[in-house]
Amino acid sequence: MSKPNDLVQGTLDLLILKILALEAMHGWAIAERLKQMSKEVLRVGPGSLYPALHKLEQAGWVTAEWSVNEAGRRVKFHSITREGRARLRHEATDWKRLSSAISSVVFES
Amino acid sequence: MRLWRSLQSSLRGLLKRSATEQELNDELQDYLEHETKRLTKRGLSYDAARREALCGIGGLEQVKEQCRDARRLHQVDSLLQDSRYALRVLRRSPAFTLAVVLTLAVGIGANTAIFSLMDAVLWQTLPVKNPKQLVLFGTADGNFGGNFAQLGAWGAYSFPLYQQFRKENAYFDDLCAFQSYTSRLNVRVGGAPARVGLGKVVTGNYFSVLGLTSYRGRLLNPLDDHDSRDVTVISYRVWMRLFSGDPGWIGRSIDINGRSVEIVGVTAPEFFGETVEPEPPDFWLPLHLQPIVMLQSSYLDNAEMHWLNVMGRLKRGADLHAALRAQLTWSTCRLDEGRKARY
Repeated sequence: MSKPNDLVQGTLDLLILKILALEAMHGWAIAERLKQMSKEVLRVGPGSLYPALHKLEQAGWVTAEWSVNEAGRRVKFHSITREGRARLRHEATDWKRLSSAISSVVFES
Repeated sequence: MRLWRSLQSSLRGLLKRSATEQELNDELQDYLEHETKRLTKRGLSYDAARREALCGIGGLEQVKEQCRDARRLHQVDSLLQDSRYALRVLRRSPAFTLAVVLTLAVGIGANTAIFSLMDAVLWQTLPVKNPKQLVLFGTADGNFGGNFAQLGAWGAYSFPLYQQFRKENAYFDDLCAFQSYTSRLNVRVGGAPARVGLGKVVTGNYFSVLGLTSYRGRLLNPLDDHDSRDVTVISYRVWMRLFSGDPGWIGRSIDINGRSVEIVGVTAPEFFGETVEPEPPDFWLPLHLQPIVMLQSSYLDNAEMHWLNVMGRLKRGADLHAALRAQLTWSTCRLDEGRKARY
């Protein structure tokens, strides 16, 4: 499992928002989806994922809804809010700018 | 309804902290369950999978604490958060928002309006005698005069025209004139550095037309005009501020725009000039000092320069509108004729 600082500070929010923008899901599925979408490169453990989700929820970018699964256990489903989508657009633009700037420095020949 | 529901949920959040704890627990249990299942699919026994999943989490309590921290961190700037939340809620119910905003706006607006009105009309009413008899000359709204309460667009007149009004006056006990705006003055008291003061020139009968009495010393009088005396009457405010309310200053001279001028008296504390204005004058000087006060050439013989407001005290029983229309039309025509004759 990767440690939280394996990801650039703040990018976890961006990744979670992106994943939730595609589909509402519960915490574990978010971690799985991240792994799958990044071709196993990016991994996030619960120690980073859940605090981030709580933060996003508090910020109003993600809402959570409780439902009961087949086994009768309570499951928390996260979905992105309208503000969350706006935030995603904003952060994605920032990331694009930042990453291309870093690339242009690092790969300067 | 929506607001009520969001209020309810906020209250729930406040009252039932344990519910949040339970949710945190369920959340992590769910993760654990999924992770265990994933690992059993890889061939591990349930117990081994469970153990490994727990290891992966790296301490349930630690994760919970981190989640609480994440939430708390946000409560630190909850003020900002709450306002944003409030705005969101308000935006979702525009009708309600509009009603609230309008109620507040009208409430505050009405209070301000009433206060401003009371302030201008009741509390700052000038301490003059029979204000109803006072008439300001002007041509606003097609009228030739205004009641004292109608401040604002007064006519400005030249000194020769004022003299004409005065000469042909039949309806007023007396007419006076005063500079239509205040001038900034360099005031030097003793050896102290110059300070800025506000002042205006007025005719010698200005204070008697208003029916004012002095607080200390005397006010200006027609003899100041007649003898071209270099004198000034100061406001109570400036007397307190610059002269510490010392009556010994009356009769002594100060320097105004380079001219030595004798202080002859102090106006009453409640007198702020004839106009309700944010920066009332503190020095009143006789008309002949106009070149000194304005640092300009003399306007006194200039019929083209309209710089005086004219005010009159109506004779008892005189009909305001008839009187003014008759007098002003006539005077103005006469002046125009005179002017034409000169060219």
